[in-house]
Amino acid sequence: MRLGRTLGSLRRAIFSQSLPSTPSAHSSARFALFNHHLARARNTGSRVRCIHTIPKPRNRLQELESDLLTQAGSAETAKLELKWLREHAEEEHRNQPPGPERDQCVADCLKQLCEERAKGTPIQLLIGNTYFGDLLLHCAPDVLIPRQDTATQMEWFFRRLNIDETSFPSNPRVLDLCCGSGCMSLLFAHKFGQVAGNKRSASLTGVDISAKALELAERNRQHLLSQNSSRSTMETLKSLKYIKANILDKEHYSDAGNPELSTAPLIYDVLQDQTFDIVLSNPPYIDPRTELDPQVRNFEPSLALFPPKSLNSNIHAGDTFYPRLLEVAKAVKAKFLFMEVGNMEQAERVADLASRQSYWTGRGSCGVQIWRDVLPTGSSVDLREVCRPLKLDHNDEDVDFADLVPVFGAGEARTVVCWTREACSWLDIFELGITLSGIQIIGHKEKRRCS
Amino acid sequence: MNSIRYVARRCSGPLPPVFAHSTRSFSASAVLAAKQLPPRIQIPETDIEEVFLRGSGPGGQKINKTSSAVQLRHIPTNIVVKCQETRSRDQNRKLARRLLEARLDDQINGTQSRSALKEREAARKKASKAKKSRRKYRALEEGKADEDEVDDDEQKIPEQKSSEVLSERLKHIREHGSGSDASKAVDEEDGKV
Repeated sequence: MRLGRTLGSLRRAIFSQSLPSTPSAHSSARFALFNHHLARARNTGSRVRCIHTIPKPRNRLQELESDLLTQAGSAETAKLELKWLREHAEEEHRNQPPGPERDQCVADCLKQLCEERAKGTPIQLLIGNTYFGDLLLHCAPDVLIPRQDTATQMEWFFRRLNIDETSFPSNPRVLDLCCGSGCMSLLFAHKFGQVAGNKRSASLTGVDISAKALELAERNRQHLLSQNSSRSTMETLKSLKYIKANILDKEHYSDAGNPELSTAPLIYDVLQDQTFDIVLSNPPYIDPRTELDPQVRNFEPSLALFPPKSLNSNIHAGDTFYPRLLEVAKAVKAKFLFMEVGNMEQAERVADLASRQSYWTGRGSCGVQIWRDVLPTGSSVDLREVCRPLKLDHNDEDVDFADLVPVFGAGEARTVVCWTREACSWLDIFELGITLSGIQIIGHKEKRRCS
Repeated sequence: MNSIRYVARRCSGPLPPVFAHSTRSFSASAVLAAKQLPPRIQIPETDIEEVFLRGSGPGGQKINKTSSAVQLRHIPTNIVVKCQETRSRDQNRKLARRLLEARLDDQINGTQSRSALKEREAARKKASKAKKSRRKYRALEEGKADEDEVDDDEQKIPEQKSSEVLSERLKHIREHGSGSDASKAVDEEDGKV
């Protein structure tokens, strides 16, 4: 339909010049376009169909699509988001008897969803769930939406893990700090169930300061429990507990004006003498001065994104949590620590802090690595580069290569991992030999005992 | 008859899904086995290079990316396919593999590929359906001319199959001519009686 197509392309052209995409702007834009076309048609003598008889569905979809265009960023993504929203609208009304009434409900629902999306609401909040690795997790307002980057890193951990290695605990105790929606602990439970035998299960604890986050985490746990998973996963999920605690000091949140934060129980009081084998964390790590995408800034909780200012003036803005994470991991006698970071500069600072602790001894004197976003998929792994921790300030000849921090993969730095001597055989990539003449991987397949 | 009984027995439980590579179609109307498609091509994982496209720009907490696009490259032939249909990376992986299989199939088998055969089958069915539809409406048009007779027929033998009614009407038309001739013939017959 030529008229419809012309209207659509004109509309898209208008919206790409970022006019506000509110409903009133829509209809006025539509009439403006119609009047323009009418005037042109009068001049040329061609026929113009009345606006009411323009076939509705096609133009309406184009209309909704242009709603999404500004948020989605590209026409391709806008089409996809429209498709997903439409599927969601249809899914919501699937129990209604089919017919024109249901179609109208679905159409209204879709229009509303698109309006919300045009304002910037993340699509995961509109649909109410998101994929995290293999898992479909619920999403809620005021809780950080799980990022796929985190899942990719954890999946790589499980790919490199020697699950049958004798030094790896058969029933590992895992602590998830700043658990948020519970995504990391739940994915751990799921992946452990996949790779370990049926007789083994993990014992997980998730900690967060936000009641809303804990509520969502519990909801996600129940949801996963209701699905038919492996016996190991079910056992792990049953024992998984989410606890409220402030991982930092009371003073960090004293001027937040939020009694929930300043009165939350402290982490050491909550954990007491418990020990854990593994500590996972994706803490708030964004420097408060950073310019954020409006979608993130306006719809996701700042509590989860920006850490409070550190009481220690030597600590960089955004790094507030890391000293405490390292401290807690040491206090609970963890053998492996997994922390998400925002970029390479932050990764280097965190690696430096970790190496100064003299606890993460690893294979030599420094068991620390940095993992980037795009990790090697093959079974053999080669080292791209080594990153020197900041504490070393002597010449190249004096450098003890065992103190260098290896960096894997490509893209932005995403995770800092630390491990003790006891865990040196857990992952094959821990068995690294760095020689003066170059960089080598020792014994990917050979079993080596740590000396 | 045996084949009908076989189908009926197998249909007593939940119907298995119709696999194109199974040896028998379980649709109720197919007494004869449906023409089978050649089996799907299986591509070994070692021939596939998989990349998860994350888009450019920062990652982690700073941004909320919805893209879970999967790109596969078939190493021997260098065919590249990309899939980002669903929000699930796992589903996209499966769909991308299907897409790669289809592309490879097209390349290797050309006109004999599964998709080409499916297209031909669909076109054939559509043409056949259109033809039957045209035949039916043409007969109805002609049948309207000797409406009274047809009505009597239908009242007397309601359970007669439509094809039989049709062939009767056609026979009638042939014997007595079409349109007004037929009705005249009827009147004459009645008159005689």
